[in-house]
Amino acid sequence: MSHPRIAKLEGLLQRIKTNAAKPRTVAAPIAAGPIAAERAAPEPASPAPVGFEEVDDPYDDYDPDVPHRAEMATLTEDDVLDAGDIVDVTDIDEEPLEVATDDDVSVVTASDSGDVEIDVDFDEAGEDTDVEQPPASSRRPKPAQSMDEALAAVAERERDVPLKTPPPESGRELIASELDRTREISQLPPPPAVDVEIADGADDIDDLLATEVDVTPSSERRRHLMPTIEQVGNTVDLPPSVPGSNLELDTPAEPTQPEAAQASASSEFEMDIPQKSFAGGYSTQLTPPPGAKEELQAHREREAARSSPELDVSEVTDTVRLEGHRSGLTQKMPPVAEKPAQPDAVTRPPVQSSGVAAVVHEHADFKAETFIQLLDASLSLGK
Amino acid sequence: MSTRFDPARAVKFDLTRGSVTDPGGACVLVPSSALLELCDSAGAEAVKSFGRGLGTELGRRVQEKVGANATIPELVEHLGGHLALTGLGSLSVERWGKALVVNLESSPGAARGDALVAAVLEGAIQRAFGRDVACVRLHRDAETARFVIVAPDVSAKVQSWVQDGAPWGDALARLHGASA
Repeated sequence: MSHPRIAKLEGLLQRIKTNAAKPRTVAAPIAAGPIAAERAAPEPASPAPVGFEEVDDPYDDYDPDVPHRAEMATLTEDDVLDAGDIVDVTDIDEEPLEVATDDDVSVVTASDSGDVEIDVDFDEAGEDTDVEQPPASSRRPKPAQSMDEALAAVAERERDVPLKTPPPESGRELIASELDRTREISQLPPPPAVDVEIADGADDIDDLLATEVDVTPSSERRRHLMPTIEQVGNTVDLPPSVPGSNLELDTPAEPTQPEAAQASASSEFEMDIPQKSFAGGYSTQLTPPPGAKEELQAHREREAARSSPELDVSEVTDTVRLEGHRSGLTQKMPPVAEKPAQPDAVTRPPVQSSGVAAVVHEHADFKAETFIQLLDASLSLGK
Repeated sequence: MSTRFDPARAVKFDLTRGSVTDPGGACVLVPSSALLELCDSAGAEAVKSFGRGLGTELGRRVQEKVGANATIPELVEHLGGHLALTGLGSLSVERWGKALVVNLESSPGAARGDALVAAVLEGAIQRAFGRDVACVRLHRDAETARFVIVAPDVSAKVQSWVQDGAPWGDALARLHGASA
């Protein structure tokens, strides 16, 4: 920011103060005349806010003969709002300010009271200036009330980054890489505050404004992508492997039975699993189920009946196997599947007498010597 | 007496005169299919008469060679030789008990010519041995026809058994049982 610009601003501010000190006649409200009454008549009692399209220009019906126009409070030339009196601080430029034309003046009439408020729009006045106009959606800056506010507003505007505010509705579309980078940055921890180094002797506002602040956070982000010193410090460098060395794993020793029993009995809600040493045994304090004695006695009787000498081989085999079970012997009997399947064959005893059937050899003695003998025998058949 | 069948010069072809002669005289070489068509159109009695006439000639030749006391092999050799020379098939004889069973292989027309062959056998046996016989077909397959030689008054009974579906062995058993 240059010093001449500040001087110009100071001049403008002084002019504003001068104009403000002048006595200003307040525009008298337009008296409610017949025309106003006529206009108010057809309007609804509580009309809706009037838009620009619906505003009736009060000067369209201007008639010099109408007496109420004489009653209107006349405004002196000084009282007319001068365009130069209203200064938009954003329109500071080397070129002289243009006075607003009639097209730039829009009149809004109050619905009930008929008060006419003149609002001057200077939005189009700065089209030719180099200064970027803020978007329509932005808040219009208030005119500074004092020199300090003006300077502070200028300094604040100079610090705005970026200087050119893109319109919110026509922004550049983010490509995929930028989106990814945005997500990546959003997942990063918040970067530390940018430390702005201000040179010594920059006490003046001009020096502060002239200070070139590098607010580019790329270096900080890049530094956050890298591992920190603390993280690197936890890394342990392993020595390189020695060729030819063998890795030996020590098998854990099996816990002894008391230890296993102690481990299994750690919880009082768990039941101990019988160990190998108790296989085949049972506690003598257990009570037999009801009817077990009768069933055992019946089983022994069946075994005694099967052990009779008239039984065949297969039954004897089963008996031996049952005997082995009862005596608790560990004798290994051949499984049933190994024994070949043999049907229960009932053979008829041989016939003692050989003269039961008498075979009649009727033609055993017939032997034809000639063909005519055979022919005669054959001709004798069937008669 | 054991004579072998000798077919030498049995059939003479005189190409100059255009004639064919066998021991029985002049003959005509006729396709078997034409002969069977003629038999089909002539009827059973005509076929039987035609076959018996042909067999009588064959029996005469056998009788001249082997006589009435010819053994079974001699009969088979000579009668079979003449049947083969005529083109009626290969002859063999079986004895089932007292029943005389004659087998004839490769006879012309297969089942269609069995009636003609049976008539030839009846005529030959009747001429050679002086017995009135009947030849009834017991069984027939693709190559062989099996006939039983019975008395003419029994042939109808045996033929009824066969037509009723009785196996040929069963028919022979019945034949023996009926005679017992």
